[in-house]
Amino acid sequence: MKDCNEIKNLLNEYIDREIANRAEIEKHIEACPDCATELEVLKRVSSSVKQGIIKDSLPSSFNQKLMSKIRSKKESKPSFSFFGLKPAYAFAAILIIFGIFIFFFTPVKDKFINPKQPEVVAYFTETENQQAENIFLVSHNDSTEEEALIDLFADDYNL
Amino acid sequence: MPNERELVNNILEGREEYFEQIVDEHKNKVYNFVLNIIYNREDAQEIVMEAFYRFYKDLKNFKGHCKISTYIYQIAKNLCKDYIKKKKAITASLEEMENFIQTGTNSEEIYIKKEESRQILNALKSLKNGYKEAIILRELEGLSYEQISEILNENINTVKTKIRRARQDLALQLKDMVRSDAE
Repeated sequence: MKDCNEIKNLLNEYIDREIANRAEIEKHIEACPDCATELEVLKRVSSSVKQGIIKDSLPSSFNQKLMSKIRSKKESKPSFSFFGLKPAYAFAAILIIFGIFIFFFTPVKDKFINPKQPEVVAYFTETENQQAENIFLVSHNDSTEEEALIDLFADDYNL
Repeated sequence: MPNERELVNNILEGREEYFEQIVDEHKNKVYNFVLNIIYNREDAQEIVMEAFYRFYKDLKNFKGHCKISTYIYQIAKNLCKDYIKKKKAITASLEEMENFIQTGTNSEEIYIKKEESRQILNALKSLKNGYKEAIILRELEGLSYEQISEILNENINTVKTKIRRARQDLALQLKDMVRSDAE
Protein backbone atom coordinates (compact mmCIF):
# COMPACT_ATOMS: atom_id res chain seq x y z
CA MET A 1 0.00 0.00 0.00
CA LYS A 2 1.51 3.34 -1.10
CA ASP A 3 1.51 6.38 1.19
CA CYS A 4 0.54 9.95 0.18
CA ASN A 5 4.09 10.99 -0.83
CA GLU A 6 4.45 8.01 -3.14
CA ILE A 7 1.02 8.67 -4.67
CA LYS A 8 1.79 12.39 -5.16
CA ASN A 9 4.98 11.45 -6.98
CA LEU A 10 2.92 9.40 -9.43
CA LEU A 11 0.15 11.94 -10.12
CA ASN A 12 1.85 13.46 -13.17
CA GLU A 13 2.30 10.03 -14.72
CA TYR A 14 -1.34 9.33 -13.86
CA ILE A 15 -2.71 12.37 -15.69
CA ASP A 16 -0.34 11.76 -18.63
CA ARG A 17 -1.51 8.12 -18.84
CA GLU A 18 2.04 6.86 -18.36
CA ILE A 19 1.22 4.50 -15.51
CA ALA A 20 -0.15 0.99 -15.77
CA ASN A 21 -1.71 0.60 -12.32
CA ARG A 22 -4.26 3.44 -12.41
CA ALA A 23 -6.71 1.65 -10.13
CA GLU A 24 -4.35 1.85 -7.15
CA ILE A 25 -4.11 5.64 -7.48
CA GLU A 26 -7.85 6.08 -8.03
CA LYS A 27 -8.57 4.05 -4.89
CA HIS A 28 -6.20 6.23 -2.85
CA ILE A 29 -7.65 9.48 -4.28
CA GLU A 30 -11.19 8.48 -3.29
CA ALA A 31 -10.12 8.11 0.33
CA CYS A 32 -7.61 11.01 0.53
CA PRO A 33 -8.86 14.62 0.05
CA ASP A 34 -5.30 16.01 0.18
CA CYS A 35 -4.09 13.89 -2.78
CA ALA A 36 -7.42 14.54 -4.57
CA THR A 37 -6.75 18.32 -4.32
CA GLU A 38 -3.20 17.83 -5.59
CA LEU A 39 -4.51 15.87 -8.56
CA GLU A 40 -7.08 18.58 -9.34
CA VAL A 41 -4.37 21.29 -9.23
CA LEU A 42 -2.13 19.34 -11.61
CA LYS A 43 -5.03 18.79 -14.02
CA ARG A 44 -5.72 22.54 -14.01
CA VAL A 45 -2.06 23.34 -14.62
CA SER A 46 -2.08 20.94 -17.53
CA SER A 47 -5.21 22.45 -19.09
CA SER A 48 -3.91 26.02 -18.46
CA VAL A 49 -0.73 25.22 -20.33
CA LYS A 50 -2.74 23.72 -23.19
CA GLN A 51 -4.81 26.90 -23.25
CA GLY A 52 -1.90 29.35 -22.91
CA ILE A 53 0.58 27.68 -25.22
CA ILE A 54 1.17 29.59 -28.47
CA LYS A 55 -0.45 28.04 -31.52
CA ASP A 56 0.40 29.48 -34.88
CA SER A 57 0.72 28.34 -38.50
CA LEU A 58 3.56 28.78 -40.91
CA PRO A 59 2.94 31.08 -43.89
CA SER A 60 1.71 29.37 -47.05
CA SER A 61 4.97 30.28 -48.82
CA PHE A 62 6.98 28.06 -46.44
CA ASN A 63 7.12 24.92 -48.63
CA GLN A 64 8.06 26.91 -51.71
CA LYS A 65 10.90 28.70 -49.86
CA LEU A 66 12.16 25.42 -48.41
CA MET A 67 12.19 23.66 -51.78
CA SER A 68 13.98 26.64 -53.39
CA LYS A 69 16.61 26.49 -50.66
CA ILE A 70 17.12 22.76 -51.26
CA ARG A 71 17.31 23.16 -55.04
CA SER A 72 19.69 26.14 -54.91
CA LYS A 73 22.07 24.26 -52.60
CA LYS A 74 21.92 21.24 -54.91
CA GLU A 75 22.86 23.39 -57.93
CA SER A 76 25.71 25.16 -56.15
CA LYS A 77 27.25 21.87 -55.03
CA PRO A 78 30.87 21.57 -56.27
CA SER A 79 31.03 19.29 -59.31
CA PHE A 80 34.61 18.17 -58.52
CA SER A 81 34.97 14.68 -57.15
CA PHE A 82 37.75 12.10 -57.14
CA PHE A 83 36.53 8.50 -57.22
CA GLY A 84 33.33 9.79 -55.64
CA LEU A 85 35.17 11.53 -52.77
CA LYS A 86 34.26 15.02 -51.51
CA PRO A 87 36.79 17.75 -52.49
CA ALA A 88 38.56 17.88 -49.08
CA TYR A 89 39.00 14.08 -48.93
CA ALA A 90 39.96 13.98 -52.62
CA PHE A 91 42.67 16.61 -52.03
CA ALA A 92 44.07 14.62 -49.10
CA ALA A 93 44.05 11.41 -51.21
CA ILE A 94 45.88 13.14 -54.08
CA LEU A 95 48.53 14.47 -51.66
CA ILE A 96 49.11 10.98 -50.23
CA ILE A 97 49.38 9.42 -53.70
CA PHE A 98 51.80 12.19 -54.76
CA GLY A 99 53.90 11.59 -51.62
CA ILE A 100 54.11 7.84 -52.29
CA PHE A 101 55.06 8.52 -55.93
CA ILE A 102 57.88 10.91 -54.90
CA PHE A 103 59.19 8.39 -52.34
CA PHE A 104 59.41 5.44 -54.73
CA PHE A 105 60.78 7.35 -57.72
CA THR A 106 63.53 9.23 -55.89
CA PRO A 107 67.04 7.62 -56.33
CA VAL A 108 68.22 5.85 -53.18
CA LYS A 109 71.46 7.92 -52.81
CA ASP A 110 69.44 11.19 -52.80
CA LYS A 111 66.95 9.80 -50.31
CA PHE A 112 69.59 9.08 -47.61
CA ILE A 113 71.97 11.99 -48.18
CA ASN A 114 73.57 13.49 -45.06
CA PRO A 115 72.05 16.95 -44.72
CA LYS A 116 75.20 18.23 -42.92
CA GLN A 117 77.49 17.47 -45.84
CA PRO A 118 77.06 20.78 -47.72
CA GLU A 119 78.16 22.70 -44.58
CA VAL A 120 81.41 20.74 -44.45
CA VAL A 121 82.04 21.45 -48.09
CA ALA A 122 81.43 25.15 -47.57
CA TYR A 123 83.77 25.19 -44.59
CA PHE A 124 86.38 23.39 -46.65
CA THR A 125 86.25 25.85 -49.50
CA GLU A 126 85.90 29.13 -47.63
CA THR A 127 88.07 28.65 -44.55
CA GLU A 128 90.56 25.87 -45.11
CA ASN A 129 91.30 26.84 -48.69
CA GLN A 130 92.08 30.37 -47.49
CA GLN A 131 94.41 28.96 -44.85
CA ALA A 132 96.03 26.72 -47.42
CA GLU A 133 96.56 29.69 -49.70
CA ASN A 134 98.13 31.69 -46.86
CA ILE A 135 100.46 28.85 -46.08
CA PHE A 136 101.38 28.68 -49.72
CA LEU A 137 102.01 32.48 -49.89
CA VAL A 138 104.13 32.50 -46.76
CA SER A 139 106.18 29.46 -47.61
CA HIS A 140 106.01 29.01 -51.36
CA ASN A 141 109.74 28.44 -51.51
CA ASP A 142 109.86 26.65 -48.23
CA SER A 143 110.35 22.92 -48.03
CA THR A 144 107.86 22.74 -45.10
CA GLU A 145 104.89 23.79 -47.31
CA GLU A 146 103.89 20.21 -47.88
CA GLU A 147 104.08 19.42 -44.14
CA ALA A 148 101.92 22.48 -43.27
CA LEU A 149 99.23 21.35 -45.68
CA ILE A 150 99.33 17.84 -44.26
CA ASP A 151 98.87 19.31 -40.73
CA LEU A 152 95.93 21.38 -41.88
CA PHE A 153 94.00 18.40 -43.29
CA ALA A 154 95.31 15.80 -40.83
CA ASP A 155 92.09 15.71 -38.81
CA ASP A 156 89.92 15.19 -41.85
CA TYR A 157 92.03 12.40 -43.29
CA ASN A 158 93.14 10.77 -40.05
CA LEU A 159 96.74 11.29 -40.90
CA MET B 1 0.20 5.26 -47.62
CA PRO B 2 3.87 4.18 -47.56
CA ASN B 3 5.55 3.58 -44.20
CA GLU B 4 8.37 5.85 -43.05
CA ARG B 5 11.18 3.66 -44.48
CA GLU B 6 9.45 3.59 -47.87
CA LEU B 7 8.90 7.35 -47.71
CA VAL B 8 12.62 7.90 -47.14
CA ASN B 9 13.57 5.51 -49.97
CA ASN B 10 11.22 7.32 -52.34
CA ILE B 11 12.77 10.67 -51.45
CA LEU B 12 16.27 9.26 -51.97
CA GLU B 13 15.16 8.16 -55.44
CA GLY B 14 14.41 11.82 -56.16
CA ARG B 15 10.66 11.91 -55.59
CA GLU B 16 10.36 15.27 -53.87
CA GLU B 17 6.57 15.01 -53.44
CA TYR B 18 7.17 12.52 -50.61
CA PHE B 19 9.45 14.98 -48.86
CA GLU B 20 6.74 17.64 -49.12
CA GLN B 21 4.32 15.14 -47.63
CA ILE B 22 6.58 14.86 -44.56
CA VAL B 23 6.95 18.64 -44.41
CA ASP B 24 3.17 19.15 -44.52
CA GLU B 25 2.60 16.59 -41.80
CA HIS B 26 5.10 17.97 -39.29
CA LYS B 27 5.93 21.58 -40.10
CA ASN B 28 3.35 23.34 -37.89
CA LYS B 29 3.95 21.03 -34.92
CA VAL B 30 7.69 21.68 -35.04
CA TYR B 31 7.07 25.39 -35.64
CA ASN B 32 4.85 25.70 -32.55
CA PHE B 33 7.42 23.83 -30.45
CA VAL B 34 10.16 26.23 -31.58
CA LEU B 35 7.90 29.29 -31.21
CA ASN B 36 7.08 28.36 -27.60
CA ILE B 37 10.79 28.13 -26.85
CA ILE B 38 12.12 31.27 -28.54
CA TYR B 39 9.04 33.58 -28.88
CA ASN B 40 10.05 35.07 -32.21
CA ARG B 41 8.01 34.23 -35.32
CA GLU B 42 10.58 35.09 -38.00
CA ASP B 43 13.44 33.31 -36.27
CA ALA B 44 11.20 30.32 -35.50
CA GLN B 45 10.36 30.05 -39.21
CA GLU B 46 14.06 30.16 -40.08
CA ILE B 47 14.84 27.45 -37.54
CA VAL B 48 12.06 25.18 -38.84
CA MET B 49 13.23 25.68 -42.41
CA GLU B 50 16.82 24.87 -41.43
CA ALA B 51 15.61 21.78 -39.52
CA PHE B 52 13.78 20.40 -42.58
CA TYR B 53 16.70 21.33 -44.83
CA ARG B 54 19.15 19.44 -42.59
CA PHE B 55 16.78 16.49 -42.41
CA TYR B 56 16.67 16.37 -46.22
CA LYS B 57 20.44 16.76 -46.53
CA ASP B 58 21.15 13.95 -44.03
CA LEU B 59 18.44 11.64 -45.30
CA LYS B 60 21.01 9.11 -46.51
CA ASN B 61 22.16 8.71 -42.90
CA PHE B 62 18.65 8.27 -41.50
CA LYS B 63 18.52 4.60 -40.57
CA GLY B 64 15.01 4.58 -39.15
CA HIS B 65 16.35 4.34 -35.57
CA CYS B 66 13.47 6.62 -34.50
CA LYS B 67 10.35 8.17 -35.99
CA ILE B 68 10.81 10.87 -38.63
CA SER B 69 9.00 13.39 -36.42
CA THR B 70 11.35 12.61 -33.50
CA TYR B 71 14.36 13.13 -35.75
CA ILE B 72 13.09 16.51 -37.00
CA TYR B 73 12.23 17.61 -33.44
CA GLN B 74 15.77 16.64 -32.36
CA ILE B 75 17.30 18.84 -35.08
CA ALA B 76 14.95 21.73 -34.20
CA LYS B 77 15.70 21.38 -30.49
CA ASN B 78 19.46 21.56 -31.14
CA LEU B 79 18.99 24.60 -33.38
CA CYS B 80 16.97 26.27 -30.58
CA LYS B 81 19.81 25.58 -28.15
CA ASP B 82 22.34 27.16 -30.52
CA TYR B 83 19.99 30.13 -31.01
CA ILE B 84 19.58 30.67 -27.26
CA LYS B 85 23.33 30.32 -26.71
CA LYS B 86 23.98 32.94 -29.38
CA LYS B 87 21.30 35.30 -28.07
CA LYS B 88 22.35 34.61 -24.44
CA ALA B 89 18.71 35.01 -23.32
CA ILE B 90 15.23 35.08 -24.79
CA THR B 91 14.35 38.73 -24.61
CA ALA B 92 10.89 38.95 -26.12
CA SER B 93 9.46 42.38 -25.31
CA LEU B 94 6.02 42.85 -23.72
CA GLU B 95 4.68 44.02 -27.08
CA GLU B 96 6.02 40.92 -28.83
CA MET B 97 4.52 38.71 -26.14
CA GLU B 98 1.14 40.45 -26.53
CA ASN B 99 1.08 39.26 -30.16
CA PHE B 100 0.98 35.69 -28.96
CA ILE B 101 -1.86 36.07 -26.50
CA GLN B 102 -4.99 34.39 -27.69
CA THR B 103 -8.33 36.08 -27.16
CA GLY B 104 -11.92 34.99 -26.82
CA THR B 105 -14.93 36.03 -28.87
CA ASN B 106 -16.94 38.59 -26.79
CA SER B 107 -15.52 41.61 -24.91
CA GLU B 108 -15.75 40.12 -21.37
CA GLU B 109 -14.35 36.82 -22.55
CA ILE B 110 -11.62 38.66 -24.41
CA TYR B 111 -10.54 40.45 -21.20
CA ILE B 112 -10.57 37.32 -18.98
CA LYS B 113 -8.89 35.13 -21.56
CA LYS B 114 -6.30 37.76 -22.33
CA GLU B 115 -5.39 38.19 -18.67
CA GLU B 116 -5.23 34.45 -18.08
CA SER B 117 -3.24 33.85 -21.25
CA ARG B 118 -0.81 36.60 -20.27
CA GLN B 119 -0.24 34.98 -16.86
CA ILE B 120 0.20 31.49 -18.34
CA LEU B 121 2.56 32.73 -21.03
CA ASN B 122 4.68 34.61 -18.51
CA ALA B 123 4.77 31.58 -16.23
CA LEU B 124 5.86 29.36 -19.12
CA LYS B 125 8.45 31.89 -20.25
CA SER B 126 10.05 31.95 -16.80
CA LEU B 127 10.50 28.15 -16.67
CA LYS B 128 14.00 26.73 -17.05
CA ASN B 129 14.63 25.79 -20.69
CA GLY B 130 14.97 22.09 -19.92
CA TYR B 131 11.63 22.00 -18.08
CA LYS B 132 9.96 24.12 -20.74
CA GLU B 133 11.02 21.84 -23.62
CA ALA B 134 9.63 18.80 -21.82
CA ILE B 135 6.29 20.34 -20.78
CA ILE B 136 5.72 21.95 -24.21
CA LEU B 137 6.31 18.65 -25.99
CA ARG B 138 3.92 16.96 -23.57
CA GLU B 139 1.10 19.54 -23.62
CA LEU B 140 1.38 20.72 -27.22
CA GLU B 141 1.31 17.37 -28.96
CA GLY B 142 0.62 14.95 -26.13
CA LEU B 143 3.86 13.11 -26.86
CA SER B 144 4.68 10.11 -24.69
CA TYR B 145 7.48 10.29 -22.11
CA GLU B 146 9.45 7.87 -24.28
CA GLN B 147 9.18 10.08 -27.38
CA ILE B 148 10.13 13.14 -25.31
CA SER B 149 13.16 11.31 -23.90
CA GLU B 150 14.26 10.45 -27.46
CA ILE B 151 13.85 14.03 -28.66
CA LEU B 152 15.68 15.51 -25.68
CA ASN B 153 18.19 12.65 -25.70
CA GLU B 154 17.62 12.07 -22.00
CA ASN B 155 16.75 9.24 -19.69
CA ILE B 156 13.00 8.68 -19.25
CA ASN B 157 13.27 9.29 -15.48
CA THR B 158 14.86 12.69 -16.19
CA VAL B 159 11.87 13.51 -18.40
CA LYS B 160 9.45 12.46 -15.63
CA THR B 161 11.31 14.72 -13.16
CA LYS B 162 11.32 17.65 -15.57
CA ILE B 163 7.60 17.40 -16.24
CA ARG B 164 6.85 17.09 -12.50
CA ARG B 165 9.01 20.12 -11.63
CA ALA B 166 7.63 22.17 -14.52
CA ARG B 167 4.07 21.59 -13.27
CA GLN B 168 5.09 22.32 -9.66
CA ASP B 169 6.66 25.64 -10.73
CA LEU B 170 3.63 26.52 -12.85
CA ALA B 171 1.24 25.63 -10.00
CA LEU B 172 3.13 28.06 -7.75
CA GLN B 173 3.14 30.85 -10.31
CA LEU B 174 -0.50 30.35 -11.28
CA LYS B 175 -1.77 29.52 -7.81
CA ASP B 176 -4.69 32.02 -7.98
CA MET B 177 -5.84 30.39 -11.15
CA VAL B 178 -5.33 26.72 -10.34
CA ARG B 179 -5.88 26.57 -6.56
CA SER B 180 -8.85 28.97 -6.18
CA ASP B 181 -11.59 26.38 -5.76
CA ALA B 182 -9.61 23.21 -6.05
CA GLU B 183 -9.05 23.25 -2.26
